Amino acid sequence: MVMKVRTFKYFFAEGVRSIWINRLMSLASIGTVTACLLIFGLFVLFSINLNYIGNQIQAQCEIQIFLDEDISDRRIEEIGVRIRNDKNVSSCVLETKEQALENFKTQLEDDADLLDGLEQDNPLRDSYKVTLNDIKAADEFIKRVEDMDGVAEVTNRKKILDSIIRITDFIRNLSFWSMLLLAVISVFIISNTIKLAVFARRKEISIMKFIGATDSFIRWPFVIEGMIIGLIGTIIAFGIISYLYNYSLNVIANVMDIFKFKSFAEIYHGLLGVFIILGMVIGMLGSAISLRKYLKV
Amino acid sequence: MFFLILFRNVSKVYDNGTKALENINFFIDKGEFVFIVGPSGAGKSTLTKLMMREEEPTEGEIIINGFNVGKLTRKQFPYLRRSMGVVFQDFRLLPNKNVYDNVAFAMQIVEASPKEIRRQVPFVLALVGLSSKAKRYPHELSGGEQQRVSLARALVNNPPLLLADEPTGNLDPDTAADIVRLINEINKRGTTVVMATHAKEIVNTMKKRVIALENGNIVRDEEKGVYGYESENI
Repeated sequence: MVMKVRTFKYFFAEGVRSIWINRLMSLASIGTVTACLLIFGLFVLFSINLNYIGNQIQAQCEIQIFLDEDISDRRIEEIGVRIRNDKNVSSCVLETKEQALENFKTQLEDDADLLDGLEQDNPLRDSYKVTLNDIKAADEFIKRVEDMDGVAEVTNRKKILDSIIRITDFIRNLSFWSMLLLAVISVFIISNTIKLAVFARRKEISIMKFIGATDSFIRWPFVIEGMIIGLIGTIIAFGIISYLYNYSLNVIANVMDIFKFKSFAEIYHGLLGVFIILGMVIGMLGSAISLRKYLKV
Repeated sequence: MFFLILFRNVSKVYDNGTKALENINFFIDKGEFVFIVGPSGAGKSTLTKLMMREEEPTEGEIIINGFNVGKLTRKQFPYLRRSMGVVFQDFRLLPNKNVYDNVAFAMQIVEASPKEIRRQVPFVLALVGLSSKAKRYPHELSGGEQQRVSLARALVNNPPLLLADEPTGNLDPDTAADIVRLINEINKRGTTVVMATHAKEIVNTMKKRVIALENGNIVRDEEKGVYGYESENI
């Protein structure tokens, strides 16, 4: 049966009315949605930042490729092109031996005069400093580069790389499974809350059935009700989270500045989108699932 | 034959093995007023439940308003139920809606236009004498008034059939007589009425067709009948 537009207006009015009439139950449902999304949201923010920091660590972990001593400028250029074209390379910077000497001097600070006179006979080598997209594939990359003609040596910090890989992998797995678990728990709690609300109104539902209401006619106001409850819970949770997040960023920034954190402005679009969809879907699904049992009259 | 209701060889055995009805045969014409009587457990409730397709017949054929009740799918139940107005002993009004909205709800279900609803609802409320209480909620009304509301709701879509299951069961005798007078009024306007009841006085004074059930069998089906069962305590 195709529903008429005015029937949908009726469903909407009925959904809103029923939230108000059953306001204690609505409040409980809104509170549940808010609590679940709050925990969920804090976790998402936490894991976004852990990932972000993981990437920062990875980015700091450079591979340095030293070239042969008497290499020609054209060969340097060729190797650069081949490295930059490698699918795993995120950035690649050439450090000429002159620059390397300069950097060395800067590092030595007051003792820089030790290096005086080396400009004429520079013992350092030209090198490429490379960061990778996928640090796990570092071994393969190093092998590819070592085979190139003109490459003298590749710094191989395998141990450090391996432990970084382990840590970031652990963080990613932990955050994925925890979020999944939280999502399932949220749906469970919310559908239970709605089930209580529906149970309180099972008589109403059976009356509607007796006077000839179709299942969808009975279901829609409940579904819209769940959707609105989900939306309200979402907005409250989002408000609390944005306040908490900005507040914690300030506190953390004062204590530690080794790592950068994502600012709220950078992530709120995505988070709000996920929240709204999640809140409404949870509310709607919760209603529809809880109703099924009582529609069989 | 312009029958509205036909029961042919209908039996109903519940899942727990209780035989509620056995080989029931009758038909009811358009415009009739029929009492279904009998002691508790005789099968009156089962009969009305079968007519509303709240229960499925175990055997036999039931045809109501052109619907073959036993062959309906779940999706078709609402349309059978819309073809009749139903009144229950416990009124079954929606507690969160006022009188007007309770009646209007039956029209919203069939997606009537707001214009029709605004015209028809006051009309039936006047018919049952409740125009002045349109804004009241069910819990603010007496039993008799609540039953009038449920009558108004049953009639608002002009169904050809009014099915009343013990409509006076929760009412005092005077109020019960009022309700039955109203139902009779409705019957005179052309609506077929089937009323399951315990109320001996009412059946005896009305002199309508009586179908008497006992232990799941029809023991009597007579025009201008009386209740019988003089010995039974009610």
